[in-house]
Amino acid sequence: MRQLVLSTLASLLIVSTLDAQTRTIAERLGHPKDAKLLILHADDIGVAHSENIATFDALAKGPVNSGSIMMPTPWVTEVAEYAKSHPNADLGLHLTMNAEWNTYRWGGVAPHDKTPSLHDADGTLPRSTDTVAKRARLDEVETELRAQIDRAYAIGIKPTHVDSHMYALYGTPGLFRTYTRVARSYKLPFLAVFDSPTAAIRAELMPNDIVPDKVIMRLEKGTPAEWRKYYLDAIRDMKPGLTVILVHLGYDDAELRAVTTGWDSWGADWRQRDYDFITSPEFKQELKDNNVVMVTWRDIQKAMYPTP
Amino acid sequence: MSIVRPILHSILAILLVTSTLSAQTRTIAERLGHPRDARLLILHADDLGVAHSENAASFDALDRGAINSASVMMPTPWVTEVVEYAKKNPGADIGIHLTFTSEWKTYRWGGVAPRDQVPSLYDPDGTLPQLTKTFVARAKLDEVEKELRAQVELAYAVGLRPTHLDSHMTALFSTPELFRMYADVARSYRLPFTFYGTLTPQIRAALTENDIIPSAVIMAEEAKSREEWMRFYIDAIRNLKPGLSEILVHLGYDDAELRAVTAGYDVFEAKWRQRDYDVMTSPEFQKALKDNGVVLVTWREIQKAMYPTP
Repeated sequence: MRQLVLSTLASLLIVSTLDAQTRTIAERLGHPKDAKLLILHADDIGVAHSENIATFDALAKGPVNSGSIMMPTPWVTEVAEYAKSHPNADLGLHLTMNAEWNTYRWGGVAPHDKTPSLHDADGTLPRSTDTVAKRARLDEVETELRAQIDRAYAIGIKPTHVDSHMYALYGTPGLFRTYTRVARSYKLPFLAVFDSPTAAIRAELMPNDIVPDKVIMRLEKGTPAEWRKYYLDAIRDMKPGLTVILVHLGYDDAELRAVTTGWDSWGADWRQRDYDFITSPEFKQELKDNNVVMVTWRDIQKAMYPTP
Repeated sequence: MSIVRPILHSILAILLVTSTLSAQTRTIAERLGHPRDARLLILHADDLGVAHSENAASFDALDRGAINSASVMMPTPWVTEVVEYAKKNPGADIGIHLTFTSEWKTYRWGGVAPRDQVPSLYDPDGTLPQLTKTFVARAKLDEVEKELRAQVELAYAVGLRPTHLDSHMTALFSTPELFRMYADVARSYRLPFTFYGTLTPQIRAALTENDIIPSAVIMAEEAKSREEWMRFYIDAIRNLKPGLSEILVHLGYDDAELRAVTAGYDVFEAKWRQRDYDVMTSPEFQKALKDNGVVLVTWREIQKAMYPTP
């Protein structure tokens, strides 16, 4: 009897592993094999009040259906209040190794004497991801990642996923390994973006991981007309599988202009433009016309970790 | 030669006695080079760093000469913007608003020293407490000193040259022990420091002859109408006594950011700060200063009087 149970269990395990390997992401999420799945995701929540309220508004209006929070930022408590009053909102953690702005800066969450390789002399995180790749010790990165996640739970945020601000943690095999190991230890799905896909980075993925097939993020400045075309084309060109569109929402107001001062890209006007088009009826209609299936990181979390 | 030396010594001794006596008997006005009974005033903006709105309004008032001094909170999100301003305006009279509380509801900060070295200063969520009384009940004196020094050291490290110290939400004026430590640290950096509240015998005992603190500190503490706001400050100017007074204001614009920072508060909120800004920059207030013969002085001048050799 016992042997039978064990061998049944063993075959179930094999089946479920095979299953993860052979079924498409769409199937694993309960959709037809060739469905075009989309997560429409707002980054950088917490960075400014302006960013928060524009993002909360977009989550309420749709089609934005997911977002991620920067735990070390000044406005994170406002986000925690929102998360507590919107327990179904699909909010993850935008794990933060950088403080990119010129006159508006922050440090990490772990005590700074535990993470000296992550900080500049003024006690803030560095502006550039290259500095992280060159200077950060992996054990200190892990300390800081865990501190950010633990602080989220401590202030009432129940994250559905993690991703990496400015792609800092996708940059080297060591950083990516640290990031994925921490994510799995909390049973959290994670975003991965392979800008320069090296075998060493991809080799860190495991059969159960669900990572998007395509990640789309606007990288160039442009007119509102170009903005519109960029996102409409992105929807029209969607392939079967899981696509993530990353947007940055905010209002072009005094606060956000001061936050982003001296920056050409991702400024206040940029974020207003993202907000304007992404929340427009035209964009919503385009999703419908192209039979896009909206999914959340919570759906993915359930597929990856059926038992919480 | 053998006669000259004792003479030199006794001259030096007399000079020393004179200068000590001079600090004791000369009024603050005289020490700052003004007539004995002059009415000196520092017009001081608190809370720089807390928000861009607060910074922008305070910089504007400093640039116009509507106020002449200010202090910055080192643990706040916008401190780097203040550092940039101070570097561009090296003559600006900017001190450190030492910070042990984080009073707002949805916009919070921690301290500057590593958190695990100063646990008694923190709430469980890793931010400073909202109330001064929580700080006083819970903070260990040695941890307060560590954090206080970390804030001053960070200021110098990022290029600020503070002219004075003061205490956000009066935290460091709360007990004689806290005040004595604050005064000692301030002296160790050769920085003047402010005090307001009741000058109890214990607080007085922590002061030395060389210290210069204001004899009157004026700050709006309850919400009033626009007209009453103006009257409050103009009356304060009319009633100034000879000696050193300090008016503490909190300047900001009543905009989306500052409203969100101060959400849930009906004092010291965005509208309050806009009103302070409006009165300070008004022609009526400037005229009242002139009509009453008020002499504006800065903490930098006080620092020079207290520490003539830097």
